Amino acid sequence: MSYKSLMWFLIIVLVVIGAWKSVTILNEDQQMIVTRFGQLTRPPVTEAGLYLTLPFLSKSSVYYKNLIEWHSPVSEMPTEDDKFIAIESFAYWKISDPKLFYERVATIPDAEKRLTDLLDGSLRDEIARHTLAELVRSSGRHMDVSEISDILKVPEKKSFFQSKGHQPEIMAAIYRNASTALDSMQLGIQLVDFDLKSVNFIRIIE
Amino acid sequence: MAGKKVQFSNHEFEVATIYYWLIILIALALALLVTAIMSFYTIAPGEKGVVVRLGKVSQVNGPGVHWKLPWEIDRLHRIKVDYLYSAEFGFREAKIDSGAAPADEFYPPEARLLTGDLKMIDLQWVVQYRIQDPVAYLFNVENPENTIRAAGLAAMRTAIGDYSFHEAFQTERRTIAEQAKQLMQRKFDSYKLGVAVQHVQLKEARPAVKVEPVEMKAPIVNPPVGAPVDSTKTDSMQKAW
Repeated sequence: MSYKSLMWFLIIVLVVIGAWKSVTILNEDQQMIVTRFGQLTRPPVTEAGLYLTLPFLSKSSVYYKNLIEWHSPVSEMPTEDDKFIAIESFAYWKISDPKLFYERVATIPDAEKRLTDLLDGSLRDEIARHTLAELVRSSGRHMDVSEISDILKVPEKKSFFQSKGHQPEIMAAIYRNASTALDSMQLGIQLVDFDLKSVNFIRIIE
Repeated sequence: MAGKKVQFSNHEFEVATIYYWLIILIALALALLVTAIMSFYTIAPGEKGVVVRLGKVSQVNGPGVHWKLPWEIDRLHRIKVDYLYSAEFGFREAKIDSGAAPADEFYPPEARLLTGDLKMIDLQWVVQYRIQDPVAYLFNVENPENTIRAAGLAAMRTAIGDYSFHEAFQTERRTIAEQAKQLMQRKFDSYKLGVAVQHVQLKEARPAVKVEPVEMKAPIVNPPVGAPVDSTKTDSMQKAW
């Protein structure tokens, strides 16, 4: 009797676990791919809802499909006019192709590491090619510089105030360079936005 | 009448069979009632309720009484769509008991900005926003509050970069705020964040304080004595100069 009831108990446990494992609830901010022995069994699922898969045989990998924040530590770099500045940047990215992402990146921390390498490099490339004024300013707008600010005694030539800013172009260039690199690497990652949180002198004035 | 024996914390009761069934029935009815009550929910004025059924958004409801499936089949997210949220930048709200300093304290990692003539300014500002699209707010971006902070900092940094220290400090405060508002909104739209920026208000500003080693004895937050900095209001500052 006890042997038989043990059998039944095991069967029931297996059925419950199987049923549990075969159900995947996909939230609105998630997507998944289903693989069986390493092969994709269906196109990537991007619609939210309840999905059934074969228990034990199929493996479902769930990824986010919303925007994911990437942020850099404060990094120091020189501008074209030899000013050392500390820059803190952030980016938004998403997994645009879960299949490629699954095959080539697989985890979010890994993706973030690749983004860090790429974005930090692109940022340094562009910053080194421009003066600080070009980075800080966005247009060639004529500024009203009153004497009050001379109290701070920042040694700067007056002509500098007429220099044109290139911030939008610089940001666009960084975005373009990083995006092209990402596309050519085919990681299934799409860069949505890249911007600078803060730009500051390393030592406070002088 | 034949009874059933019921054990209840070391006491044995003999309960008539009819009562036995009655108790079970009442318990069932109670459980059902509780479930039914739990299935109803009220959305307060100014709120929206987003109901997610097994992962998928099934309905978005305005104020009133609504019904959903119990036991986590339907999940409810309440979002205050009319509430005016405010995000504070460049300062941390002063504690009431801090005594001598009633003004909000500058928070340099956020407050310190470079103006167009490459001078450093410490600035406090507030961004007021509404959640316009609750579904977008819930699901489109990983952490909406972080996004609002990041975009807020980037927008103000960009905006102030096109104005001189003098303009940022005195004459063009309104324009800078307006520009930062537009830059923020543009970012939110491109992220599909579902947030509408209502207002950006610049608050206190001061030239960035240079902390010298000599003054390290004093609290760092206080500007050096004699320096043309601080004062709590902009107008008193103008007089000082």
